[in-house]
Amino acid sequence: MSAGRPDDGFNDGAATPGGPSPSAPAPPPAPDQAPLLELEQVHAAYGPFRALFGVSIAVPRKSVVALLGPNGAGKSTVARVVTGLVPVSSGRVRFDGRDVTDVRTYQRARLGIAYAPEGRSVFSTLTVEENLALPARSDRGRAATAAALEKAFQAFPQLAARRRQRAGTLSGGEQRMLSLASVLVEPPLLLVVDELSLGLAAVVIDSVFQTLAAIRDAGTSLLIVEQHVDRALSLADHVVLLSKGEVVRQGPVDEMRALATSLPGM
Amino acid sequence: MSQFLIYAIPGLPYGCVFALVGVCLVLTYQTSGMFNLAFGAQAYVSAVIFYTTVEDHHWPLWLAAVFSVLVVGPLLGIALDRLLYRYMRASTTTVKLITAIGLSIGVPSIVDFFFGSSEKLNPPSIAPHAAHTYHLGSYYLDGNGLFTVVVTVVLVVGLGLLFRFTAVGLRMRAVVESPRMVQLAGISSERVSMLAWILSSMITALAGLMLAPIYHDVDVNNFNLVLVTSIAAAAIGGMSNLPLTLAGGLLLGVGQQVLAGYLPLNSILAEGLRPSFPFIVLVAVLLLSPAVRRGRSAPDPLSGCDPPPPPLAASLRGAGLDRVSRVGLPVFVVAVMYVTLFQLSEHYLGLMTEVAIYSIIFLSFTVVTGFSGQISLCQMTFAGFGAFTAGQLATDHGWPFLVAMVAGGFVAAVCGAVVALPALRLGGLYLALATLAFAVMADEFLFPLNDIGGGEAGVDVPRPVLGPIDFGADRSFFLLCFAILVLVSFVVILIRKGTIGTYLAAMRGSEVAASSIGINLTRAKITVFALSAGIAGIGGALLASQVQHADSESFVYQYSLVFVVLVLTTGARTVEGAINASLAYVAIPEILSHFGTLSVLEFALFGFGTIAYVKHPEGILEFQKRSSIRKFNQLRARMKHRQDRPLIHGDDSGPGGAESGGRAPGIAGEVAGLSGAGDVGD
Amino acid sequence: MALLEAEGISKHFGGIAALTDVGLSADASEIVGLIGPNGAGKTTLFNCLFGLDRPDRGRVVFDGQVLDRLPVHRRVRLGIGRTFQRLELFAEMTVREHLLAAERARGGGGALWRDLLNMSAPTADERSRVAELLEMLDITDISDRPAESLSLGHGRLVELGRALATEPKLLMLDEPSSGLDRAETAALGATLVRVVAERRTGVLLVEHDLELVRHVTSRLYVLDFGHMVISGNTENVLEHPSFRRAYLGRTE
Repeated sequence: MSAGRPDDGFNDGAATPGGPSPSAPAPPPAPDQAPLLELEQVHAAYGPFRALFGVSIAVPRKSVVALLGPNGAGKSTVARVVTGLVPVSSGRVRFDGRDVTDVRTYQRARLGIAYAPEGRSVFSTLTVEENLALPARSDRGRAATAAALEKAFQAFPQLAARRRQRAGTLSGGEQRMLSLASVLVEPPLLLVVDELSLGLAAVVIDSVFQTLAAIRDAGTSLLIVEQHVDRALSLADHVVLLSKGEVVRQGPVDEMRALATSLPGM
Repeated sequence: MSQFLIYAIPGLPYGCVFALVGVCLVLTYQTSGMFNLAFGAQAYVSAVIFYTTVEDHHWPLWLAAVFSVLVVGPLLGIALDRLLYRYMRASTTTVKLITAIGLSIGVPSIVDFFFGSSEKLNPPSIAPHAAHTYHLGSYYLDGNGLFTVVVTVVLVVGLGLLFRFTAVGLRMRAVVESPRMVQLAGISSERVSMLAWILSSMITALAGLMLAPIYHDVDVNNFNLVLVTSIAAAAIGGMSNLPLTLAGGLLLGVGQQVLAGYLPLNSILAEGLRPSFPFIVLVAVLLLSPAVRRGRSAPDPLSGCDPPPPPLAASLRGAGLDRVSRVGLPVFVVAVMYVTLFQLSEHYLGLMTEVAIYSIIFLSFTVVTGFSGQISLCQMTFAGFGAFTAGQLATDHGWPFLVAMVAGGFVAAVCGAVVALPALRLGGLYLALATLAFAVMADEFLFPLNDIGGGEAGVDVPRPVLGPIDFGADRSFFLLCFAILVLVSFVVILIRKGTIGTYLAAMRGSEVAASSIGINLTRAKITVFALSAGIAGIGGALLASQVQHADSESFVYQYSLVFVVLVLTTGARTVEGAINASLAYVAIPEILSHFGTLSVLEFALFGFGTIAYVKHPEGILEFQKRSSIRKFNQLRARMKHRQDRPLIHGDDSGPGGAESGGRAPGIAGEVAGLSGAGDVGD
Repeated sequence: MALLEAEGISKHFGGIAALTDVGLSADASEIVGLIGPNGAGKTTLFNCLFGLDRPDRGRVVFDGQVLDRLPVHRRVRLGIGRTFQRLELFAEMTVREHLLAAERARGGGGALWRDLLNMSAPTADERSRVAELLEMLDITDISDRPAESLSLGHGRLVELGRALATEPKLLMLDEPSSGLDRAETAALGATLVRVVAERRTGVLLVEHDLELVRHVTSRLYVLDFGHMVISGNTENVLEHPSFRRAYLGRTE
């Protein structure tokens, strides 16, 4: 993977420098408060394989940011860095006014970062109910847990019918619903969504995106990694284009629409 | 029926203990990925502390029991988890197994150092009315046995309830599937794993206390034998199912007693069946259970977050260093030979001979583990087959020893192929466990047979005679062993360089890709396993020839465990690694013997070497060599730099990945280190 | 009869049907595409054809021979080569060694005695063939680099070269362009077309990059939820509304 200059096609001034120089992150598009999430010059690697080279991204409060780019651009790595699953090798991660670079994954989850990972994202050996109860039980009593469960089942009636079924036996769409339902049980400040529509039929994708919109309306910010550019753009306020582990361009959705839809591999 | 029950009921306590230990194995394997072969050592610690506090310090039984089960057991579990296990989540099966084996060797040695290694006979039982015999109609069970049964039932039911109905249990089940997803739910997966370790350590301690009275002795070997049977119970449960494990344990315990009851007294079958049970059951499970064949059903969906396993640095040696070693090695060898033959006393000559012979045996690990990545825990058993075959052929049938030795190697190779056949397709953990069970079966059943190990008397093994040359004298025998070592070393090197070595290297890199270019994995694995067993067999024949005797005690499975740990920590990939391991094995006890009581610590040293191994799976020797080569190269580069012209740093081979290669080793090194692996493994 | 004929392939994992009654054929000298959304069962189908998974039902005929329970290495020797979606390289081996190992394995070589007599060094013939392949894939300059230092793009080419070194009649490629940039993808496409022209190799291509698919394939199969929803001439399939619905998730 080349760590060299950004690809010629997109290099029109807005790109961040490749080296680890402490240059300022791209300015977040003007909310009157500090962004909810900020990545500053983040480098990350899987063992010897380097995936991110000085990525700077901001997610303003109550907004939806879409992360787009070709296969292998490092989108999923950004999602994993935000949740703490992959450590940064340099750079900072700030969330809700504090530096969380060295904060562990489970503590970040308690601070309000939720993650719907790519592919199977439920405990397939646990029942639907147990999947929902797992995070909810962290600090509450049984009554609160039961209330949270009911809330989730009201939002997703089709899950209620299968509450004692093992999550692994659900269809792909139902599994995605389940992972979103456990987010809804305790709405986080930020939800990171990684390729949620992978392998889903169009109808199912529609309802998944409706759910995402509902989550946004409830006050949660979203960072969306998505293959389906059209759908991502329909939900997003801001767009970040990644290529080869670097940000090539970012900005409000209206400015980025034309560029994003012309990307290769989309 | 009543006859059946008369045999079956005394088997219940055994079955319960097997079940309990099996449940512990499954519990920790599932929650932390460690297959706890150190069970015996952990149980031993608590049992010894219980024994000492009661017998020497006259604590009341209940206090000693509470202390050893509820304090010592969990503390040990916490210590192991915090210091070792939590950094090993991303480690390979080999590293995990070897670490556990290292602990099983090292910990008892430490215990003996502090509490004395004298026999601890007739340990007290924690059961109320232990000596009382309870009658149930015409069947009876003693107090300790009844207590064991009751405790097991309570514990297993309790564990089941815990798993099914509590938040902690739910978290434990979730951690089994994906520790990372548990973290994403805002729960510390490490704390959950630690809880599992505490729990299983307490049960382990309790099992230790209940087992000791059954065997009338506090002896770590008994615990290890129980462990082997419990492995079979866990295998019946597919390493994951607690109720099935419980049933498996009961079946094994009751089955052994019933079979022993029905079979004619003192017959070969009666003698042999019990110790063979674990091996037979393991093999049967491997062959018959589709669950085991499939492996784990629900892989961690977030495993993509793992960095790839740290690559072994490619050859860093420059031509200059090669030249030095090409000249240096023969000079060094000649010097060692000269000193050994003409300067050393008889005693040290004997030790040097041992070094040569153990080097041969250790090279068999180089082939099987170093080249093909399989773990065998019965190499010393193969050595035994070689020794007994050679001895019988030479002594009873008058074969020349060297011919008998080769025949011994051949027999060992056939044994190797037969043992490996069922387990090879599964590899990893199952092969290791099957070989361990085989080793135990050989120790307890095959080797004591008259036709194999010569019974009580053992087998006489002559020194070789080759035409006019008699190798009876120590000096000439040393020369012969040394010559065979050189020969075997060449074989090992040729294999590594040859087609089979290439295939094995490919297999280590990726089994699926190796088969995708047409390599027959099964054939390659069996070839290498048989070859390694053959080398061990030849080494075993020489070992017996040195002392001119071999019996069933000469090749017990504990040796295999010590050796595998020793060779892997030193370096399983090279001939030098095996020779260095052999030097350590012979020299360290020799040195320690000058320090009186310290000599107990010999096995602690060997065992705790695995802590270094977790950090450097390539072996200490390899690690040292690499860092010194790197320093040498740096030094040379700096000197060159001064002499000629500025050196262009970094890789300049253009776009397309030069950089990722260029900076890789640093990052890889960090990840391979304990702290790095721990962070990623969260 | 086509080079590869698969019919009625079904495969379940647990309670989930990964493939349901799927059929497919591929012939020499043609590039056939297999596309579909992630999770549609493409890799599972590949594994069933290659022998890594055993289908519950259905049969696979290759070159006139029923493959049924044949293990992977036997299928490879019959002439099926393959690359992997997640790179499966031999750590610690250089690029050249990858290809040499495949050359050697193709002949089914590997007698112990040859190793022991030190007669296993690569022959001149093997070396020249490998050099030729390296040249063709334009990776001669990295041929002595160890696998772990390679970029994803180079890794893909090495896998391709390794598969080609087994001289396959049919080459199964699992997302060969993922991780490659535009130029590299284009070069890969050109290489594939050349391989097919020069060696009469058949290619079965799982691919996400529709541009590449449009460019190199003559026929296309579309898999969705384990069902073969549509197949036929590439142009026709790509314009077909049901393809657009299944694959692009767009409803325009």
